[in-house]
Amino acid sequence: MMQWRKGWRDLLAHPGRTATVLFALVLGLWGMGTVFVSYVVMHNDLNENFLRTEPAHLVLTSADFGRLDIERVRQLPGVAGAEFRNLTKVRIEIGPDQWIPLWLYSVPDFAASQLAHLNYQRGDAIPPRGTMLVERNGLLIADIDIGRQPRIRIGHEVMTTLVSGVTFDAAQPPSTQESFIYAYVSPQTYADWTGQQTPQRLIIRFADVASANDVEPYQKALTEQLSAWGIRTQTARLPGFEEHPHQWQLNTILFVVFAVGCLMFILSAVLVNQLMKASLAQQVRQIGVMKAIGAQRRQIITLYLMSLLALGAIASTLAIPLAVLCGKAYAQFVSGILNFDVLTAHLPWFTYGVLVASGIGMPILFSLGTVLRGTRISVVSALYDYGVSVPLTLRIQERPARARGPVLLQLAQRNLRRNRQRLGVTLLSMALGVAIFNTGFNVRQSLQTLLDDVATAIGYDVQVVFAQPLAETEARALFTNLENVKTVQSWAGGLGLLQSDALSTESGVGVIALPYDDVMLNLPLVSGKWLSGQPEEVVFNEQALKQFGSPKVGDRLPVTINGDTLLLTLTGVVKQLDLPKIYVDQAYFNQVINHSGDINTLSFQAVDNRYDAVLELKQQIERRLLSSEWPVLYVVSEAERVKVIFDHLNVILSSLIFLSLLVLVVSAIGLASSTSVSVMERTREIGVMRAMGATPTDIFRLLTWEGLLVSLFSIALGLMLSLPLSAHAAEFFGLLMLSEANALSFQFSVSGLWITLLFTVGFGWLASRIPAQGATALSTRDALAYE
Amino acid sequence: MTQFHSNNNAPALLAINGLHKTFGSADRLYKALVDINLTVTRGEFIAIVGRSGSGKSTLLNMIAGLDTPSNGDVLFQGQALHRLSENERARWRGQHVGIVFQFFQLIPTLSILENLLLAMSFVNVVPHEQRYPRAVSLLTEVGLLNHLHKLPSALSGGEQQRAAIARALANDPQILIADEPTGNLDQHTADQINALLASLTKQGKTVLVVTHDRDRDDQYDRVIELRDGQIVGASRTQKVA
Repeated sequence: MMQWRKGWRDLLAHPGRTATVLFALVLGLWGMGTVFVSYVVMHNDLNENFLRTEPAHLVLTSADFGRLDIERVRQLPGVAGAEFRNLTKVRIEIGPDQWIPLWLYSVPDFAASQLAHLNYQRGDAIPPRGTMLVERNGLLIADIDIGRQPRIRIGHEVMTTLVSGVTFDAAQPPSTQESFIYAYVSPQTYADWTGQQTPQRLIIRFADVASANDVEPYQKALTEQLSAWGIRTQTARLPGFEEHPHQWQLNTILFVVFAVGCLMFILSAVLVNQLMKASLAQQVRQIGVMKAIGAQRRQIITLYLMSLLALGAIASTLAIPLAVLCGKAYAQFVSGILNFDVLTAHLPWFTYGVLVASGIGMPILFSLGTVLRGTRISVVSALYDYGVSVPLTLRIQERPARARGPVLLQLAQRNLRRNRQRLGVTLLSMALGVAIFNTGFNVRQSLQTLLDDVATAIGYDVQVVFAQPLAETEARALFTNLENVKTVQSWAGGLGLLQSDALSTESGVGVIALPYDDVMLNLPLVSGKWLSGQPEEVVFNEQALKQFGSPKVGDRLPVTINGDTLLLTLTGVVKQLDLPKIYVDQAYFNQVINHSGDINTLSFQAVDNRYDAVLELKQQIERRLLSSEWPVLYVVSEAERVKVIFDHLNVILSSLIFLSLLVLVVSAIGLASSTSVSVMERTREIGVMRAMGATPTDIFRLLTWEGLLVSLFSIALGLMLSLPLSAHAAEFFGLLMLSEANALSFQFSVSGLWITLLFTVGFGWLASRIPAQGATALSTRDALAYE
Repeated sequence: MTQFHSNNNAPALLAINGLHKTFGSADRLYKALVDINLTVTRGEFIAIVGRSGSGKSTLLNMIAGLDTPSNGDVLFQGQALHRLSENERARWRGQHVGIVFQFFQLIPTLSILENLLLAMSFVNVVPHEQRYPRAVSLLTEVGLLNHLHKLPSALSGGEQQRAAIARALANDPQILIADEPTGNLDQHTADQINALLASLTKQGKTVLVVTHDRDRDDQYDRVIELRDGQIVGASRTQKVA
């Protein structure tokens, strides 16, 4: 009881020091707790959202589905659910001359779907004929809430629709990132709008399948059965097995969150340890007295552990509710960006268990060594301890007086060397913060460089992608006499997902047939050479190369497109940030497959390619398209395409930089604590200096110099550390976010360097300013009497 | 070898035989105590005198088991202290020795009553229910009844030293060791403290005091003078009643 009281009174006797330790503990626990709670909440929820929709395992298309009795499919062995779910990719107007893709689905039964369920949000649950439900994430990029009447363009027809409800389709990638709108209508409305009276797309979910490999035998059996029923399937697609298309983003965010959480935990543990060490150093004489009056080491250890327990309990009480709140808020923020619902309403008990154990255990665990060492001191040494001293290892270099520089600077650097272990720990933790903070910027720069490469590779300013192939002459005729056009080029097939659907190999690899000397695409070669106009040449991007089993340049490969198999020679491999794509010469392609010479894509190069001029060109093109009969998938400017890619990755990099900043803040608090402990230890010494004539400004300058010196050394060390760290991080994030073929290369961010310098020096200055103010606030008499 | 033993026939409470204490490394050896031989019996009031650096405090530390000899023995009722582990010495000290420091060394965050209770809780020889009345009684004896719940910082130097003596007596030790107990006090207060210490010998306590002050030699049973770590003189005094 009396030992409890002593421990408690010690905490109350130095409110400043106790508050600093508590602050460090609360901050560390809050940071670690926040990321832990958000991890617990998020790690399962995106995919749980996705799985709750009971997503399709197989998507088949056929023009013959009108003759198929869906009930017969549902009766087949292994089929858990099957539905006709027609899909057409049209366009929706979201502003004057601004159209984006609209994925229009026909849903036969909104109330009792067998698979790919939608989650009702607002308005009508079942859209009345002539109206549509829109996916909720689309509301963030377009004014299409309930009651709005956006125009959509299907084929050549522009029609006004009505939004009757909002739904949530957890299986879709977020509209905010894809720049697509998803809408759902009844089969009647679908037939009215598209003219398609019969089902053409079948989605199926199988029971008892654990992987994509398990789906394949079912797929084979099903297509054979359909064939036996006289149904010829055109395409068969296996979506990513039981995994949300953007799960990779969440995985990356979770990794960043987890790694930063661990770092914050370690940093705050170091901080607590340092503070305990300093606190115990001040108690040395009391330890001696207690031993002298009969206390055993065990009793003294218990006494200090009880203080730590009290500190941990207070810190936990303050930090855990905060961590739970912030963790949930962060999970909510990420769920908003990735468009999923947070399903974890109540945190599992082990979450609280881990938080409480960390809160109580962290200060004890990380201070135990210090307590054990501190209480090992002999009674005599403890009794005759008079606080901070100069270590025998401190060597002062003798140099001519004039070369020594300002005396305060010299004194500051010598003071830092008085406790080398503390200096080392402070420097290391601060340097770690600097390294991670700087790495965030460098990785971001790597991404920016990649995007610049993408922009360089794209030679066009605006691209029009048609929903169906059309004659090149007719397509070009539509855009004659446009202002600000330098060159127009046509392709069969095109970039991106939708064009992979439009023209692809049998295995779903997108095909782009373009003039071999096309100036609209300048993809960097990884190996071999670009198309030269010779027949049977094919160039792969790295993703396609992988899908084809990594053939070598010069290999002859069979490639099936629209049912015709060509034997092509791989002439080169290019680097490209896109889906798997293969490139063939348009003239050859037209000769062997595309006899009509129809095209899917028109690319425009502008004379004036400044942003406003390109936007104006895009609007001119939209106006022409509106007055035409041609069905268009989308019109996109090069800047928009780059932005879409950037938006996919930016959420992760922004999280990385934000969390890195947190690490830097924790490190800076470490520096502040270290400085304040150092000031506390030297209070009497500061009193002596003032008695000798030092002004408060001198003391203030001395301590500020100390903080700044630590900051500068930390920056130097941190920047050195950040180089290998950035190189590894760029490679790692490139693999995680993009693909093996799109690994980010190491880049050094100059702006990041300046921001790091600014933040670190600023934090260093602040970290020393606060304790310095405390030191100068004490009168000389009080400083001299300080125990 | 000079022997400085008690003249009375009572059995030795404390016996010091051939005690040496050195500090530093082989090339810079500092001899703090050289061949000290001394016996102390129950109820003696002994002063250890000498100039600064003569080895007084080192000798006191040896007697209190705060430090261990480089050579020789310190025997308490026949038990060699240096053979005890640090924890055993702490327990022994708590039970048999009370220490009074020059700068009082009260725990600043506890009231003086709590300082006594803490000492008792460490040693655990006084039954729990007797601790509070014992602490109050001791503080009453030293004249601090009205200051039980004050923090040390609220007391004068003399009051703090009296509180420190009360704390040293908390576990009813046989030996009281005081290192310059009056060195930081005015003359009048120093007299009071010395009288208090002398009164303890009447209760059978053995009191060893390290002091610079030779004006009070006549108050002690024996005065042992140290110079350069050696006992250079021991006088039996005629105590002033």
